[in-house]
Amino acid sequence: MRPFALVAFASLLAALPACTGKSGTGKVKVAVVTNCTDPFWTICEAGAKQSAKDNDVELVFRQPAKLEVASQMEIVEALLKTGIKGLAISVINPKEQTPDLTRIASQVNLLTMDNDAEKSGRLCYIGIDNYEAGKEVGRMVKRALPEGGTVAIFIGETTSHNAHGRIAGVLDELEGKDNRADITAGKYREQYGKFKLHRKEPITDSTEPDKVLNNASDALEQLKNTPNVAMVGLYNSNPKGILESARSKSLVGKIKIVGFDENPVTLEGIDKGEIEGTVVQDPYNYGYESVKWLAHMAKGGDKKALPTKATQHRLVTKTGEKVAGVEVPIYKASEYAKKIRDSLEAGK
Amino acid sequence: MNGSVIFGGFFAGSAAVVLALWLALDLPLRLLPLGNRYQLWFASLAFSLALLAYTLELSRRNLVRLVGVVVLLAVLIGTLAASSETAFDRSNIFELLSRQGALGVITIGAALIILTGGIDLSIGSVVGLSAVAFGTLMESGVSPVASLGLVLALGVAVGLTNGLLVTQLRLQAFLVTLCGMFVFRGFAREINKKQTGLVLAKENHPEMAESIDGLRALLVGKTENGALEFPAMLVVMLLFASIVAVILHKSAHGRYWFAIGYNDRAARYAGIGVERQRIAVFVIGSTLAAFAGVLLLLNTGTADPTNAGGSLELYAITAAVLGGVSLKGGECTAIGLVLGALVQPVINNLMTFLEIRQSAEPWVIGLILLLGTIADELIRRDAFGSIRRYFLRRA
Amino acid sequence: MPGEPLLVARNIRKQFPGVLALDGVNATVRPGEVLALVGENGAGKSTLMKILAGIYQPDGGEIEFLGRPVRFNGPLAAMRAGISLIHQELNLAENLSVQDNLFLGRETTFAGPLKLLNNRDAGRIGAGLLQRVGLPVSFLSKPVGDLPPGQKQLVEIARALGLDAKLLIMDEPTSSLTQTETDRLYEVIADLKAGGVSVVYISHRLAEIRRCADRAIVLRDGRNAGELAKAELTHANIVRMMIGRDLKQFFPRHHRKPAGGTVLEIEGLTFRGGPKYPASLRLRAGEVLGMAGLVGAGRTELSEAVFGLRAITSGRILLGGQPICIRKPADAIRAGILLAPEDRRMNGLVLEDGIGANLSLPNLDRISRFDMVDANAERTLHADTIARLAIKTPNAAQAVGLLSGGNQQKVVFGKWLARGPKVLILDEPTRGVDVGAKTEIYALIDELAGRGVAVWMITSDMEELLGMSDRAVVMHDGRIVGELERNELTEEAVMNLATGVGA
Repeated sequence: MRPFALVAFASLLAALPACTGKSGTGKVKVAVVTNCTDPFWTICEAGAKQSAKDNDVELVFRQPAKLEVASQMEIVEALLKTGIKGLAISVINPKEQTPDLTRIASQVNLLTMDNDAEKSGRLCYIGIDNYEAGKEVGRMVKRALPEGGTVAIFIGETTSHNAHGRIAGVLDELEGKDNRADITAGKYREQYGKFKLHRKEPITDSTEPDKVLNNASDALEQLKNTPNVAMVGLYNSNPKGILESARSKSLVGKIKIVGFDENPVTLEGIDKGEIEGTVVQDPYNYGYESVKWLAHMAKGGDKKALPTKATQHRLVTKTGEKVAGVEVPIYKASEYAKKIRDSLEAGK
Repeated sequence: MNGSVIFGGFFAGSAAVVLALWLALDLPLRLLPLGNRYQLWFASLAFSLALLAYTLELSRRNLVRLVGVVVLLAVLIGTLAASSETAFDRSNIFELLSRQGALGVITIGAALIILTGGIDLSIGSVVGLSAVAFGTLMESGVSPVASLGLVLALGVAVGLTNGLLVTQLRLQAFLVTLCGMFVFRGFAREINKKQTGLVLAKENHPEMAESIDGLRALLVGKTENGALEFPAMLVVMLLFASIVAVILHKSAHGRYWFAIGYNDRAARYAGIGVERQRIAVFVIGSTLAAFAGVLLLLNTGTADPTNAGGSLELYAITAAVLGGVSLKGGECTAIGLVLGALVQPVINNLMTFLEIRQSAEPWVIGLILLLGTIADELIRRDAFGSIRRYFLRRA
Repeated sequence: MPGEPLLVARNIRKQFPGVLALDGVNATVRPGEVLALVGENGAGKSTLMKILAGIYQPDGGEIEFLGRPVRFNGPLAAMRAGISLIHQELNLAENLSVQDNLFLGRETTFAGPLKLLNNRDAGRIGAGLLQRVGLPVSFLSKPVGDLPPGQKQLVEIARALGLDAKLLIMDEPTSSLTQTETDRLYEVIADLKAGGVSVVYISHRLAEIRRCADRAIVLRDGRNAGELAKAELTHANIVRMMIGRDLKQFFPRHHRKPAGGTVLEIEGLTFRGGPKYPASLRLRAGEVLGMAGLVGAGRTELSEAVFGLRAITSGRILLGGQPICIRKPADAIRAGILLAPEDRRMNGLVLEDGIGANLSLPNLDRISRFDMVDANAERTLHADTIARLAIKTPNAAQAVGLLSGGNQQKVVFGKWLARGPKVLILDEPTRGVDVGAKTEIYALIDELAGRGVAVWMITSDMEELLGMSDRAVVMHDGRIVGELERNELTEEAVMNLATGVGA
């Protein structure tokens, strides 16, 4: 049996190179590391790949299996040892990762995307301001329920910097405050201005698909006889979960749904008028821009050319028409969906 | 069985352990100039390796159980070496050994529980809870060593709860610890709603910065800016492994555990306090998990209540089984656990160095582990000759 | 003898790693006869039987069944051909009902792809089968796990009967049966014979063989040692042929002295899960107290309570006149009350572990210092015990599960010898033990009693009880119903008490 075992190993090892993306082109190698595995990052990868082609660099794109600093750093540490010339990373915990990132920034060109660590010495940040994006969501809720009402907030977790920003933005906007310094998670109240926060805290699902759906369904059951309800989904899968459970209970239209990110189901729901709208981040460009600027720096480009401001978030609605009080670009849902499909196609 | 005696005994015991740790850690932190950490590491390394060598029981049965993991590691490390000229740089080796240490600490705990016929699914959540608790305590101004002691006491309490539920109420360990998995995750999220971390603790209490950095340097070998100067977690793990090796292979308690794992009824008829031994093993397992939580926070600098340590119990159980532990109980060697804990870090490292396609990564890892297990099992059976005879008869 | 042979096995060879289990064994079974297969453990009985039943394939030789050469590639093939084996270790699914077990693997189903169970037919056929082995029809719906071992055995026999076997191989079928059940089994065997079915009967109880076998084939060290016709089936003949020499004294009394003072006294003991009657018992130094009773009479339970395995609810235990408190086995062991349990594979030994590890297990407190096991002391303990008990093994690392029943029992004894027992409780000390090892165990019991140990021997083997006991008590239905001094000890007296007639 020993020969059999060895043959099994040998064939496994022979099969391994077939799965590698190693091209051995001798081109400059840059890496993009996300915070977890998500459809959001699939769009980002398409942009990064296109950019690698356009800027003539070799790309390593890695998504950690878990949204956890330990798994992310295991990948980053290993990548650093493979001789990459630049790294773009979606930071999970800005404050605590800053020392590590500072050390990494001293070794390779480092830039942050999607989530920033300002003091890490990164070259630049590519991504939106989550607090501002949260306020945009809040404004949408206010437009949907001008008289106030009950708001249920769904999100994957409430511990990351991104999540803090979005939740604080929504709640501050509902209350009519603007206090960016007060992005403190963990302390929630029942009343925010004219709005009541359902369950007195955001409802989390650890991004597990069945829990996303169950949370939304349970809340719908509790709130189905309450007037003026808005359900806010702040992670990619949340608006989809809310919409699907509302459809299954025939409550579409009775409750207002406000979304975040560009899940295809979300965009379709907006197009049908089932969802009020969604705030989008443009992950395709996160990938494209990250690789572009990493290539720029690796080839000895000028630091001064790097972007200095946060990327602007955008709004997607059914019609795409101008809305009073909204300063960011507004897209029509059907057109935005097509744009994403096209870029994903091009990425293949 | 007299419950209060057990409680009293274990609390007195854990208090003694905490006190001993305080002395063992606080004194070196105060007395040792930073440069002398190396002496401490090398002394510990020499001590633990010597103990491991002394307790090495290479009986035929143990040897057979180790062949598989050695072959698997040889193949994986060989592939890693071939994949890139930088793979064997000192920095990458240190990285690997460091991760082996982190995984090894919980592997030992998981293995001891499996050895005595139990299972602990709450390990990952306990790691998460203790990492969060450790960070939260320091954020609120408790000194690092005191926080460490409190977190270990928490581990003792968790193990005691699990052990008492399993032995006194005769509940299935699987279910008790599965419930624990949810409960302790929930506790972690209750005690801190945010991600916790060293930077925040140092910001809140600048006077503790030095001792936090000192503890981090001593236990995980990372400098202030997170650079790994020595795989100290491996040293920590080897220390635990060598102590466990002595217990397993040289002490009466180890014999009890093997007997309980094989046949707890025979152990009971032989006058062994089966319940007490089981509780003790659960306590050791959870305390090691709590220690692993401390290492996790010191190593990554941060812990997220929602997912810190998530599914680590499965990695620990996998490492234990790869290292020759039988899920049926009654089989375990200390050296096997040390080796078993190296497999998954090497595989993960290999994924990066071979630049495995993202979508292929999960199945490649799963397949390597499966093939490793198959090869291990076949080699083991072959040693008893049954497979070969089967084929001879067919021929 | 009537007719052609049913089965002929010629020159059967079987090799196991390191052991030549069968070395050219011949056997013939005629239709409608009961053939006893006799031999010490390790003589090759089990191997031969498993080859006939298709569980093992022979490495050499040939088997003819019903006049045709056959080669079974598994027990199923043998069963289809008409050979059924009743295993020594019961092979029933404990969680299923008696009826489900009777038809396991050959369920009566309605036609159709779903194979829905036809419980009415199964019930009818099953009732008939149970009647043939003397079990009530109402047992059909009982879970097998709820039955006592004796009745499980009968269910197993009923299952084989259901297969219309032409040859039934019974391995120690009576080892766990009560006298009534054993008698019923002989009636079943007589019925089978009358119906032309042959039985190959394996037993260590020579009295049974004398009673029911027509002929015996004796095996020794994997070879034919001889054959005995019914008239030649005497105790002495069988034993001489089995071990190749005469037995000097089967039940030795060389060391026995008149019994001394009372060592252990049980006063009005009741315990959790036990009968409501309080039990009282005295054991004297240097005597062997036999304890008889039917299976389920409560003997094992009482001994377990004294050993600390069952919580005592009232009454007290005195050791040397002093009341002692026994809450767990460790308490009993510390006091010198030691138990060699009935089910040694389940409770007495760690089968996967070596002889040495098993011997050390209850003695670790004596051979370790500061919890560290002293390797030298341990080696000495192993060597001394193995030598003293003449345990046949290449080394102390040998796994206990691979030893013969007799050697396993010696290991169980060996665990306790080093502790210097005051009271030694032996629960069925020679069950599944071959004749040679039996004599050694009897000699050991005699020697221990001679040194003043009070031996409490629970046994269902009447010869053993009559031969070894200095005094006997009999239990019936949870109660100690009688006490017999050695001069009063007869089979009839014991059976009257055990069945409740004498009470």
